[in-house]
Amino acid sequence: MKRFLGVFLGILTAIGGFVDMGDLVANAATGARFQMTLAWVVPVGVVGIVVYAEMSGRVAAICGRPVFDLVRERLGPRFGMANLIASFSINVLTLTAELAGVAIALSLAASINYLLLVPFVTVLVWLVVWRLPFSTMERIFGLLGLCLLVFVVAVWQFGPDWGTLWSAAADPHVPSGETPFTYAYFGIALFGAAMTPYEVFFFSSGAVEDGWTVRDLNENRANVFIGFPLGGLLSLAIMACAHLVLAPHDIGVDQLSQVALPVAVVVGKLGLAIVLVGIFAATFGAALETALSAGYTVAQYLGWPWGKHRRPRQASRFHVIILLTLLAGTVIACSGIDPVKVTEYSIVLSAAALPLTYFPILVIANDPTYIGTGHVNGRFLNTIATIYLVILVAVSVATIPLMIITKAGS
Amino acid sequence: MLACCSACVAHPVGPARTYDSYAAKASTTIESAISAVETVRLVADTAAEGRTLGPYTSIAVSEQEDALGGVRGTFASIQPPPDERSATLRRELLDVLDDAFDHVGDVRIESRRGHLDGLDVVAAPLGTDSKALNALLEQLP
Repeated sequence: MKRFLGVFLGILTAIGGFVDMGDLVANAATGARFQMTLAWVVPVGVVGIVVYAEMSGRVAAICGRPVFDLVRERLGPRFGMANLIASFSINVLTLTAELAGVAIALSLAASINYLLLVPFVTVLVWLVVWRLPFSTMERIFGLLGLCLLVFVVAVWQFGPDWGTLWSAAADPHVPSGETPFTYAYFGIALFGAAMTPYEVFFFSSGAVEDGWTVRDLNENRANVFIGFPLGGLLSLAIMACAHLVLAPHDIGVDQLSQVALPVAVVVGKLGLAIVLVGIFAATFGAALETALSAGYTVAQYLGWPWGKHRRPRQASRFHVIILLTLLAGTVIACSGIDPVKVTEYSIVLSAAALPLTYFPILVIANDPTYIGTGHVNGRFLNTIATIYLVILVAVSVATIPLMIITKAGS
Repeated sequence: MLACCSACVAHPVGPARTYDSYAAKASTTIESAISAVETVRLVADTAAEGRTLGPYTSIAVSEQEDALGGVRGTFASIQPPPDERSATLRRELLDVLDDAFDHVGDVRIESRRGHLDGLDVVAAPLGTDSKALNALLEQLP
């Protein structure tokens, strides 16, 4: 019973923790501008993250070592360094966006300029990283993130013509007034939002923090095979809300407040309050994950002691990296930079760096010296993972040219 | 990362050499302005129905006021080409943007005073601004 409850809580945490600032902005902006014509990208991204997160969780559970720890050892220091530079830079941008997201969620509830709240949010994030046990931290913000299910309620309560909605989602095409380039650019943004690199670093390091072993492989599978797809449904609900409520008014999404607006329109005050709690939890949880991921990647690459399962004194350099990354994110967020644009850039640039993150996972998940012959990828999984690797390389090659051609989707 | 951060702050827009390029910039400006105006109208209507929270309403409207001010400032700073059509377009669009900016300001003032009940009435002139913006958009090539 206790084990079942653990798995159930893990699934709920995976659903609530699936959405972050990138998903909120990318799905709402796409729904408002492209209606449901890009909805197909969400399941494509979800299958990709499911395949690779399962592999990274399995590797971590069997070896007791997270993926980044193995990258340098298996693929050499140069590849590891390239991976580290790319993922760390994107992590800083993502952390900046998440810190701003938390501050904006608080400002929408307290009517205070969000810039004044960013330093307060940073201290709060640091305190949680410093003091709260890993599993408690993961559960609290993952479960609170379930408040975002109010987007599903809003779609239901709006009462759309489900047939029309399905037809719109099942008919991918470039809408009038848009070019194939902007369509592809926003598709890449959605794909990048679903497959953000920090998610797998956090997931595999978290497996080690939680002390997963071979006996926890089923929990790993339940989290990714059930939790992530349901999280993907949440992303689609955000997109549908923007499509149903904002698009008919020619409203584009440039602010986080506009993401919450459809819920207020359809559900009312209580819905708005719940969605603000959900946005707070989703962005705060993602801020914790990105801050920790920054520490994980650097410490694991350099072979330093790391993790919240150790006392801070035993992993001091890991905590210093987290603190410095938090400070960098705070300075950038307080500089007056547009937080929604930072989010858009972070998810698009993540897409450009995806092969660097996912290729090593595929290599290690096929190496019996690390995970034993009984746990390496099967033929079916390798076929899907290889197809995704080809997609990731194509996306990575196309991202920067599309960013230039479309002037970042404008 | 630096390039990305620099792209995320307000930056100068180059001059328009021809009417077509000026009209393209005007078109982008109008689309952004319509989005801001319509957001404020929707927020105001929703608030008047008692479906939003006071702090959310005032921040959401303030954000759109800032966005509209930014859009107006950016368009005003573009050097138009030396022809009568461009001068007319500039004058007409800035007039509408000025009106919209004033009307959004009125909504912001009332929302900060906590007068949410009648916010739809205060926001009513934005309907005219939205129509004027759409009319201008239709005139553009």
